[in-house]
Amino acid sequence: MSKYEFDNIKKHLNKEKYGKISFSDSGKDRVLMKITSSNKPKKKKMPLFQKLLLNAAAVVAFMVMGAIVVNEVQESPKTSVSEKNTETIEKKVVQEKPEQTVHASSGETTNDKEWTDRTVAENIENFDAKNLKEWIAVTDEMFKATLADVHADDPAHYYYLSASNVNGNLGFRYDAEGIAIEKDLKNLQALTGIVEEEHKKRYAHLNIENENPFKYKDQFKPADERLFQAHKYTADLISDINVAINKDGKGTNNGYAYMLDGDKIKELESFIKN
Amino acid sequence: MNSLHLNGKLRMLSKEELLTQLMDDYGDMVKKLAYTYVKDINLAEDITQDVFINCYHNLHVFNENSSYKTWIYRITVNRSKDILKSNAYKRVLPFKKFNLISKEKSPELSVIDKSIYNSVADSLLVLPSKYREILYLFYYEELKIIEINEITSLKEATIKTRLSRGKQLLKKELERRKIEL
Repeated sequence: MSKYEFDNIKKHLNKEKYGKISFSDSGKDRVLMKITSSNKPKKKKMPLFQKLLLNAAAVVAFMVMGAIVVNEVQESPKTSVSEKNTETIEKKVVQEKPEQTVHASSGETTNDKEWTDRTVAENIENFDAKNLKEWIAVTDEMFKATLADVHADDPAHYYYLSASNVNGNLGFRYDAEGIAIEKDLKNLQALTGIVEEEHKKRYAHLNIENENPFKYKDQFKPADERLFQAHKYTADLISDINVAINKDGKGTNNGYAYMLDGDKIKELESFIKN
Repeated sequence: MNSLHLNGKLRMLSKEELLTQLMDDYGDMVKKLAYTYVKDINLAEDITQDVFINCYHNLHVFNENSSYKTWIYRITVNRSKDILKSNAYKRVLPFKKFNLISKEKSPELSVIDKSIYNSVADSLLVLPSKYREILYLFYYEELKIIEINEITSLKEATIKTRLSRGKQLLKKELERRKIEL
């Protein structure tokens, strides 16, 4: 039994395996990033009285505006005004009506912008966002946050961490079903993939295996312009998706999301393909 | 430095500074403990991140009579056990088991594998988790029975029984692999 008294077990374990196990710097960064994004102050709830007052004011304002419009219509020559009004109304209807796709086989119509949350509940941990809407809002805040001092010497590394955070969550935890949203999420995944790929190119020449590359950050090559551009597109696309799914389309449209009928989608997709 | 003194020093830091300090002090230890449970280095890294996020959000409920070390150990043990019970882990496990016990290997591969296979670490890791955790905490982390009791919430008598039984099992496993300590 003497040779199995286990006094040396720690030494053996360290030598064989445990001595090489360490909590990576990138892991620590991720923890700090997660707590930073969950620390944003939440909007204060408006008192009930103030809410009611605001709603009443809005109703009064609409009624006054309606009265003015009706008054103007009655005073102007009937035919031309009614034509103009019809035109405006028709234009409005066309603008506000979401694009629809007709399925050739069934003849059914589908709204391009309609979507269903496909968050994978079993992969959601205690402090994760509970659904796609929440996750996109938090991620948008994260991408809009000012770069922390600790990352000031190498922003590309921080961009890589942010991208891998998005890429790791997308599909694994958060997903959606719908024509436009699926295209947007696919583009988002491609963009974050580019950031990750470009970052890995920075230390490819070091042939690092089974080690945290960050230990050798002083030997990294400078990041390529493509990494920064991909990060910029990622941030703008996330912002667009956030406007579409959390703000009813009200807010800055950067032009990169199908959900907002973006006018720069071609530019974005050509960047991804190249 | 004793843990109460350390606790006193840490109390003077801001929440974020405290978390950074805790990650520096206990990060490796948490990952090693998690690895002992889940036997997967990537999963252990994820658990470590979860543990510290959890710590951060629960710093206000930290009982100051306890030490950060024991507290963090306890969170790690609970999180690792949750993962072991989770469906996602169970779905992956059969493939891992298959890899570990696969016997149909070429002679060359067997020779290469022998050096990895015949290690004390692997002998420990094949033991049932209830013995593995106690052996690890007692021999590797060099914790006292009373500290293990605080971390695992097991009765001292149970810990002693598992320690004794675990030692026997590990001894058998080492003998089977012809390893001398």
